[in-house]
This record gives sequence, structure tokens and C-alpha cells, in this order.
Amino acid sequence: MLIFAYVLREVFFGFGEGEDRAALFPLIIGIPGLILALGAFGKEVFTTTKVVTDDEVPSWEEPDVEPDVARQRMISIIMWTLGFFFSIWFVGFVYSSVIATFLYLKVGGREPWLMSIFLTIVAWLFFYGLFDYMLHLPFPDGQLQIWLGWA
Amino acid sequence: MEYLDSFYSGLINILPFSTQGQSSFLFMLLGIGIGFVVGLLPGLGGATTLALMLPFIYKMDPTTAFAFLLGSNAVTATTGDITSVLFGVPGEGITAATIVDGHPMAKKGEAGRALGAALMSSLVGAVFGAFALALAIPLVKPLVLSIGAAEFFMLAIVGITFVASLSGRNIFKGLTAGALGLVLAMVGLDPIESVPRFTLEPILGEGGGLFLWDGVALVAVTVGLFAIPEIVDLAVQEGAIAKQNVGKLGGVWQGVKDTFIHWKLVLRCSAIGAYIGLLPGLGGGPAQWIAYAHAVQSSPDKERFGKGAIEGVLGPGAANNSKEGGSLVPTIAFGVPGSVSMAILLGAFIIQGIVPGPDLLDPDKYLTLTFSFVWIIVVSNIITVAVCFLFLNQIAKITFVKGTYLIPFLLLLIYLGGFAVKNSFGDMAMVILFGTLGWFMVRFDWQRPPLLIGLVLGNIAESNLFIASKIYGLSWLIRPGVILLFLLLLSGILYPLYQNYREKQKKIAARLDATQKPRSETT
Repeated sequence: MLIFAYVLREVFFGFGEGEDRAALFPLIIGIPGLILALGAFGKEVFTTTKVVTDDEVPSWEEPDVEPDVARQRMISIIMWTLGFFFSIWFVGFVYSSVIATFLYLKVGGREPWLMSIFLTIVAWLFFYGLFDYMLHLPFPDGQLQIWLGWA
Repeated sequence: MEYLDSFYSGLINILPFSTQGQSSFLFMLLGIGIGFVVGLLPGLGGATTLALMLPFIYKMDPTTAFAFLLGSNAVTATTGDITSVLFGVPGEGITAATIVDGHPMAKKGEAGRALGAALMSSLVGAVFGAFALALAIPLVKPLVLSIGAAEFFMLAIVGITFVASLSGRNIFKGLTAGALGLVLAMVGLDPIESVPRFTLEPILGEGGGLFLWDGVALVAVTVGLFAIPEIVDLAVQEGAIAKQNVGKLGGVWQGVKDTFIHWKLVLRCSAIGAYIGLLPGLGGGPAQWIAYAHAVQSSPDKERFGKGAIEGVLGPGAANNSKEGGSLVPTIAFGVPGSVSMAILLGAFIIQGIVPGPDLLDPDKYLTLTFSFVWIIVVSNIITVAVCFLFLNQIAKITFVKGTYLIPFLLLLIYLGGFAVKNSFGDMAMVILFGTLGWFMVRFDWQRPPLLIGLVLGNIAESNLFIASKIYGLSWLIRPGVILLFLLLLSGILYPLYQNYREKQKKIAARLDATQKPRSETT
């Protein structure tokens, strides 16, 4: 609802003179979009007052993880996802394939040393071997290399 | 008779029974190998790879050059289905629809079945599309000219509505998601007058605003929307992707049988893909979703979809590959590319000194080459599917590997996929942003496909609306094609609502029967 409200706000106040044509399609989509969002919101409010049965959940989707454990694992994977992003930004793709992979396996996954090292080497061979060595994808240097003048 | 001769010669020229054939066959195999890998890897697009292959065709003869290029292009959709099924990560943007039912099948331990179905339906679709190309050659003009700007616009809206109606119980959510996709498509420069829209400069600053001038990258959205929620789910549940082992029922050959059990659906979706491929400018994205929507609409039991229905894999699999043959038709006949890949292929025509148009349909000039395209698509898909089947059961076992081992690879691939679009960290941030959105959508039972199709079709819809209104004024609203498509759109919205109403009435009636029965038994 907020997004469609923002779109309509831009349509009426954000476009300059002579930009009416550019505002036309946002107007055509914004109005029905806002109405639909209100309708969806209304239906959500209505259905949350009803009792929901469990008989529609397939057996292979039944959560067999305690809610507290699930929340903890979810926060952990979110932090690791952001950590991978930061790692790629900081040291670049090729070094990240080593550092981030090893840290995830050893620290996050608590895998044995041998498996962690083995899979880290596989990850490095795959990313460096295929994307850098064979395909010469232009991986940029990480911020660390730029700061240290190694770029 | 000349057509038949050209049809036969086109086949001979790509098989290794002559000097010409040996060269073409070898380079076709090389192209297949490249396309195989590109299709598997998210972010390495088929179109980008075609562009990278272009410089190598300068010294080749035309048949060999196109065997090399088309051999690669023809198989990327086939192998893109593999990562979509196994990991919920689309190998190609055009294989995202396969995730909706393919990945849940993998979670149920039916990865082999899903892969077998995806590959076999891809092969059937590819053959259908190739022969549609062959048959359309004499008929191509009225087929392409049957649809104008106004009809294009309506087709885009119908596509979004059909996919939105997959949202089952709450069609409002689906249509809202579709509208949100259209809003996302508006981010960046307006396609007509290049006015910057919704670039968030007051919030992101000049640099951030400038980044958004290019719009929202489709690959980053697709990968984030579908892959990140799956990775979060994999990490939370722990264990492997497959939650159970169903033995032979989940096997590859069951998937192959399913393709022939549902042969009518596969042929219909192949026809949908071929026709959509035929329409210049729509690209490959809509074909998979419209085929998926058709698979849902034509099923008596729609509740199964999104939870591992085999038809949800067969439909997009067939359409993805049949559209390749269809998209060659306007490219060859008019020099109007049906998709980005075809636009790059036009470059190949120019390099080879061939002008698309009547020459390619003339038996005395390049008709044999045109029929070679048909056979390249057929033969390259047969080879790819045959090779895949050798290893498919082993590949399917990846779904039983511990999730912790897979997650680092998946995260790196996802970020690489987002980054590789424009070599920008901004797109990697987009992956995270849309991954977050995707997670919330899954959590609160919102369908993601309508958002994606809205994003894909947004610019097409806006450009064609502008052209239609410029050419016809408001009278475009009463064109016969537009009215027909509007009725189709209404049926797409009203029919699911009617079905929901009927189901509710049935449930109420069943509950009343259940409460009345014990009373009547006691009296």
C-alpha cells in the first residue's frame, strides 16, 4: 500500500512540467494497484479472524524444528548471507570463495577440519578455475586491495 | 519439391557424413558444451554468451557458424531447468517458472522425476518449435502481422492476470504482486522520453539514483526472489534439500513417462511457447509463465500446484524450448528479433554477409541454411538430453547432500549471478533486497511469479500502450483483438473466483451433511 501511495505521490507532485507522458503509466498502474493492495489487506484482516486448519500442510513440509531453534538458525543464515556480501565487497570474489566458504563450513556449519578444507579448495578451484582462469570474467578488486594499493 | 530438397539438405549439412557436415557437427558439439555449462550457471546468460561467441565466427562458413551459435543457444533453457529443480536457483531467467513446482518436487525426494519431466518436455518442445519454424516459413507474414501494438499491450496484461490467478484463494494478492512488478519495471528511465522515474535520488544520493537509471536488473530480482528464501529454508530445516526418499517413483524414467502421459498438455504448451516466441519483442520470459498458467488453468486439481505438481514442470519446460524455434521466425523472415538472443544472432547474419528476409526463404539462395537452423535445434537438444539422462540420477542425488555443504556454493553463485549482469555491487545489493522481499512473500503466502512477470512485461506494456494510443487514439480499445483479449482477461480473473465460490459452497454442504448425519442416525 505504501509503495503504491508513493507512486501516486510522485505522479501528482514528483514529475515536472512537460513530463505528463512519463507520469501516465504510473498513474494507470498506481490507482488500481492501490485499490488491489487495499483489497488484499482487507482480505488478510478478514481471514486472520478465522481458524486455520493444519490439514492443508503437506507432510514433507511439516516443521520439525522448534520455533526457537528455527529463529536462531534463520538469524544465523541471514547474518552469513550478509557476511558473504561483505566478504565479496571487501576482498573480491576469488578470495571470498576461500575465506567465506571456510568460515561458513568451520564456524557456521561446525564441520570437521578435513571436510571444511576440502570443500574450500573445491570452491576455490570452481570459482577461480571456471570464472577467472577460463572465462576471464572481470572480477573487480576488493576494497581491501584498493586501500592497500594492490589493485 | 524444392522445399523438401532444402529440408533434407539442411539435415545433411549438419551431420558428420560430409566435409561440410563434419565441420558443422564439431562446432555444434562445442556450442552445445558451452550452452550446457552456461544454462546450468545462474547469472551467465545465454544472450551474453552468444555475444562472446560472435568474434569466433568470422572465418567460418554460414552453416558452421550458426551450428556453433544455435547449438549453444538451443540448450541453455534445457540445462537451466536442472538448477531450477535441484536448488530453486534459476539457471536462466527463462527457467524461473520451473522452480515453482520443480523445486518442491526435489524437496519431496522426486528430483529425478522432475528432471526427467523437464528434460523430456524440453526436447518435445524444442522439436515442436523447430518444426513450427519449418512449417511457418511459407506462412510467416500473416502470423506476425496478426498482432499490433494494442494487442501486444493487452497480451502483456493478460499474461500478468493469468499468472496472478495462480494465487488461488486470494487473487487480490496475485494481482497486487503483478502490479508491484509493473511498478518495479517503471524504475529508471521512461522508455519513451527517458525521464528518470522512481530513482530515489533524495534517499540514495546522486550515485545511487544514477545506478537506478538503468532500472531494476531482472536477473538480480529473479535470483534474489527465488533463491534466497530457499537457502534460508535449507539452513533452518538443516539436513538435505530432499526431505524424503520415494525410491523409483521419484526416478528419471517416471518423469519421462509423465511427459507422454500428459502429452496433450505438453503439445499445447509447446504451441504457446512457439507462438509467443514468434511475437517480436516479448522475449522468452512470458512464454514460461503463460504456459505455467495454462497448465494450472487446465488442471482439475489446482491446489496441487506450487507444491510439486508434475504438470507445473512439463508446461514451462516445453514452452521454454519451443519458443526458440518460434523466435527464429521473425528474425529470419523480417530481420525483427524475437528476443535479445535473436538480436545478437542478427549480428551473426551481418558478419556472415547474409541479409535476413526473402533471401533466407528462397530455395535458390539460403533456404537450405534456414532449414539447417531447424535441424540444429532438434539435433542439439537430442544430444543434450541424451547426455543429461546418462548422469541425471547421479545429479539428482545432490538433493540428498547435506545443506551445509551446498549453501556456500549457492550463496557465491547467487551473488555472482547478480554481479555479472552489469559488473556492479549495486545489483548484488538488489539480490539481498529482493531476497528479503521474496522471504516475506513466502512467509505471508504471496505468490512471487506475478511480480516477476509484471517486471518482465512492464516496459513492453508501456511502450505498446504509447504506440497504440498514438496510432489509434482511444479507438484501440474497440479493436477486435483487444476485445477478445479483454474477454480472456476477464475470464482469467472471474473463473478462479467462481471456482473458489463453488469450492466453498461444496465445503459448507459437506459440513452440513456431516453434522446432520449423526442426528439422523440417533433418531
